[in-house]
Amino acid sequence: MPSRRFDQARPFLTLGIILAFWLMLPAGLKSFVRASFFELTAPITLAASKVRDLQEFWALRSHSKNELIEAGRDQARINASYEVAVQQTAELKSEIVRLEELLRLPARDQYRLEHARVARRDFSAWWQRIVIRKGRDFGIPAGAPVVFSGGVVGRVVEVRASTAIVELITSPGVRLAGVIEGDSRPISFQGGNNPTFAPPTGIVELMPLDIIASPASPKRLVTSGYGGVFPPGLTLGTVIRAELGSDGLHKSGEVRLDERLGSLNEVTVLVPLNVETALPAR
Amino acid sequence: MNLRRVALLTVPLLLLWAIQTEVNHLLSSRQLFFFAGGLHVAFIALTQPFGPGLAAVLVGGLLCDAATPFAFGTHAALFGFAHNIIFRMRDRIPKDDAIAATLLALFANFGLFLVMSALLSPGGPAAWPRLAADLVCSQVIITLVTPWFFSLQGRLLDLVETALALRAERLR
Repeated sequence: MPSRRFDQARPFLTLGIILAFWLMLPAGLKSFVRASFFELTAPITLAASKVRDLQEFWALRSHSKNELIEAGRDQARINASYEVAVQQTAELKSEIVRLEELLRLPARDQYRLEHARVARRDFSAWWQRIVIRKGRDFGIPAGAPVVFSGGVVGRVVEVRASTAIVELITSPGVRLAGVIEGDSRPISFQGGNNPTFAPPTGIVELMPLDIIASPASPKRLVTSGYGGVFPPGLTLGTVIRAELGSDGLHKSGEVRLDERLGSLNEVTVLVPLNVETALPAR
Repeated sequence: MNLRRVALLTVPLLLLWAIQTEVNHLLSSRQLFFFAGGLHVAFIALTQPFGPGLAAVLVGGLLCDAATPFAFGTHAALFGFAHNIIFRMRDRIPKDDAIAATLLALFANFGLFLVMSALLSPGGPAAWPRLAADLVCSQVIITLVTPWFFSLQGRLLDLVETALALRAERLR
């Protein structure tokens, strides 16, 4: 009878020994195994992403010439407006440099823009991550901010040989400092729950009492630039609800994030020109 | 341990992982997620010898672990545990019945999903509607693909074993 009992428990004993051995392995070795498994699957991720691009290419080829001409005309108009904006930006930048020199202020962080295709989106209730098709091969550092046309996407959390993993601001564990546009007081933003078939949402806490926001009069939430990796002024979302918090001293509320975060195809990584000073040590 | 068998059992798991990631990529715009943990475990635990089966399931778990933000080995440990539970009661489950296999995969997936949610606790009760939606989505897809995936794994093993037997006979 005891031997039969042992036979029944043997699978669990074997698994227990394997797990105990695994727990005792050095962290460096585990990290190496993790990287190896990730790199083993990276070609599959990249191939699937390129196949999707090819599919999109053939779908676009089916458009008529008239449609292409119209799209080109619209693009030319947008480019013309951007040309003006670029000239104004250059003018403002030179003004900032002049003032910094005049007031002897430290220079702001400078970034190189690295555009990258999204190879994989992985959005669960447990985590919200994307894999982009650029990594160490393009000098992407861990911790670099990632943006898109609608504002902040997230932050690079892991960098591999030809890919990088970006944690989105919609992830439940993400916290960063933001400010209401036109206000300088920092408030705490946290990624929230992401309801099915609805735009992602976040939570704001420690909001000053005089800020009023509702669906009818939403407030734009932007990055504060205080102590984090994100430059100031990037859109995080829109505060659509602000209520008195449990401490009675601050308000807390709900932030509606850009629904395009759920279907990102292209993002831009802001690679600091001076990585050591711009990104916290990891 | 038969390493060839471990490799043979791991290849369909790699395919399943690739399909799972593609499905999740497509579902992401609707904020839905497909979790296929039960499918990683069910066939192997039901039909394969203990050693190679457990090894393949652990490798499959590590594949799932590689890109997740949590402790490396979480999926592997949970898959291994689920494998052992099914392995212990497999004598009482009909192996060739597609409905029984599908139900087993569904139960395994349900259990693994609940344990993962309890371990990772994303955001308290506020996250439950999303978790419920993800679970329903996963169970529906698993119901649809389990017969195909079981048949794929079984056919792959049969094909390779037949080819190896024929080659051994020719060499003799």
